[in-house]
Amino acid sequence: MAKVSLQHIYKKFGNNVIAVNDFHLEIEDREFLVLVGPSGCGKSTTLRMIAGLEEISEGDLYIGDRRVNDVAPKDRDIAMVFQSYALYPHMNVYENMAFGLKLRKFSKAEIDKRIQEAARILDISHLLDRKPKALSGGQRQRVALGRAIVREPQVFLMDEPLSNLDAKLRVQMRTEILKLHQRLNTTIIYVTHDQTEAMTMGDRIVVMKDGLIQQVATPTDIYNYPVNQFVASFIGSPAMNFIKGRITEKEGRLVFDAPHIHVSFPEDKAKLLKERGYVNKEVTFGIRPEDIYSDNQFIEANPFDSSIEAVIDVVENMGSELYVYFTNVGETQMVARVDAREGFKPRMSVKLGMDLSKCHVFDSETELAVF
Amino acid sequence: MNDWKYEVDKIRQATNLPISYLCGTVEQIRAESLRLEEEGWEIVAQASSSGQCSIVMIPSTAWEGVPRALLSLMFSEKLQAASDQSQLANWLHEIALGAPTPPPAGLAKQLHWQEPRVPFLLEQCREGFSWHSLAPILPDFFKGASLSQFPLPFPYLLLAVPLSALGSKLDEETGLEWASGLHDLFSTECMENVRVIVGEPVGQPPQLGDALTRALTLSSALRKFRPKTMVASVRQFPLERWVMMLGPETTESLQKAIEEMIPLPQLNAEQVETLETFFARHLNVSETARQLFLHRNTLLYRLDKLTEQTGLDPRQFTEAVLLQLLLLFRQK
Repeated sequence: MAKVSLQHIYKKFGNNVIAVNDFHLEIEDREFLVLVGPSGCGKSTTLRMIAGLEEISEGDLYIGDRRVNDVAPKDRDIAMVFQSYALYPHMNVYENMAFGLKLRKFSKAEIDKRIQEAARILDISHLLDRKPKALSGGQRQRVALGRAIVREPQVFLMDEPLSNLDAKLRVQMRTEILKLHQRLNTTIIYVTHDQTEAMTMGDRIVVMKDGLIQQVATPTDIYNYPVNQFVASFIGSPAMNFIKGRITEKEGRLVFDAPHIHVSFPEDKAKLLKERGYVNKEVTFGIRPEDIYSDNQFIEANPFDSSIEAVIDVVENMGSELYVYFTNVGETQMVARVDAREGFKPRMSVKLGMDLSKCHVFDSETELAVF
Repeated sequence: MNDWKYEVDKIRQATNLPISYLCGTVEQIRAESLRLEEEGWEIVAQASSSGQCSIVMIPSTAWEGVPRALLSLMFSEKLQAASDQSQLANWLHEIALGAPTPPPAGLAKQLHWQEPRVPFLLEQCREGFSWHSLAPILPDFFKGASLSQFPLPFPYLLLAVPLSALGSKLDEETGLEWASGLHDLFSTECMENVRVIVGEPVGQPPQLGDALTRALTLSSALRKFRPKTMVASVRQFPLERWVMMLGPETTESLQKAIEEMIPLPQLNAEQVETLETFFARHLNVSETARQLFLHRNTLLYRLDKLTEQTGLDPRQFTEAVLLQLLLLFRQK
């Protein structure tokens, strides 16, 4: 167990390409940290620099108190679980897990003890005699995890470990890895492109884009207080709705003004907008799909003008809720998550109310959040 | 020389006499052998290659008479074999340097393999990693099989594994499984990213030259066109290999001819990645979508857009071939 410290880390390819740009972060001992972002954002490169698979162009990397920039990957006391789980084809599960320990000259008794314990944790005790060919994808990935666990490293690095599994198994393994973290009580750094995985697994999430850290925070804070429009759009499914418009002042209230939409901000948000000089400026208004309500009670009880008229384009029935897509707010398509009992159908005209206490405003030039 | 370790273990078990195998850098081995010589040990066999030295030592007083004579005979044969092996290694080294030469005379006679061997070309993806660190891992991984390792100019090492160590028969799928297993071995145990290319079994050492040339061609093609592909078989990626082998003039004239027939606009990075993955996944939409972490419909939308923009539908085989050739020529 150890903390990992990345101090102003850069990865440069050639003269022009900066894959990771000034990555600066302290990862606490026993923390489950998730690096998330779109393809090419630098998350895997960062993980591979921690592993030693990629050289660090600039900056310092510490595992525990030891600077490891120049330490060979195998001597960093880390274990890595990859997206692919080839395993050793000629060895059974027990031998696959024992191989690394044998190389390190562990006694037979110690090897057996570690394997039995890891197999129990991963629920693969009954598979120890099987060869990789006789295992399903999920079972193979458990064995790959087992190989890492028996080494008892200071830090686990996981690079998209679930992306080769089907959707159902992915959800199941997500829970298994979380349980594993609780039992092993060790530091895990986990890379994924999947925001649901990031939200459900991480103690903290690092959202990356174009090699830069966009935000580091707990899942709740990332979701509720995104620092910029990219984070707001990347985290959450369906994604946050964005509408471009202008902040104006009408009859003493601050209003978001866009074609077909005019909503008044609550006092606390209006105060912030005034203080930061956003009156009469172009902004992007953001609202999450679950903060748009269809019930009349909410619309009537809402003290501010926050309702929108909509004609429904598409309805996706998720069973417990409906995703209702509509496009008549200007040119922008919007989506609302509403109760499945509403019985909405395409081409229906509906009135929807937005909970403006939960809305977001982003600067149109910098895309940074005002709130 | 790695099999010496196993031979020494076997001899020790069979005779119950003291015998020691040492392996390391020349300096390390010199220091250790001097220490043992002071204690009355003598060197029975010694060989070195690429800065690594291996020796076998025994205490003189413990080995006398028939056992001593048999041991000397055994290791004189092994030393001859080591010398032939070194001749083979030098020849392969020349081939890897781009200077194809005929195999040394008499090589087939001197180094006769009892069974075919499967070549694996290993390619380091990071400087500063030494193949020597693999020396103890590979024989253990192949459970003591007699392996031949040929260090080549950076970043390569050629490994020839007896066919019986990989099972009774080797089809392309099994070969790729072993290559994946080796890649996994280096990633998991050494934390090193090593590209592994598996070749077809070769009967005798002189055929290893052709096998190496084919694997090197594929390695260059992968580095150029599919840098993320870490495991491959020499039969895969035929178009990439073909384009790689073309001379610059032929490449230029072919590219010109195709571009005159189909004026292809510049594609952005996302489009190129989509097409490359689609081609690598044999035009399979579902697998490509999974590989790119996309919804299937998003991929179909991207392919439709590409068709609209280029006039070629990548889902149609012949049009896909043209598109792939154009991309490869541009990348080259």
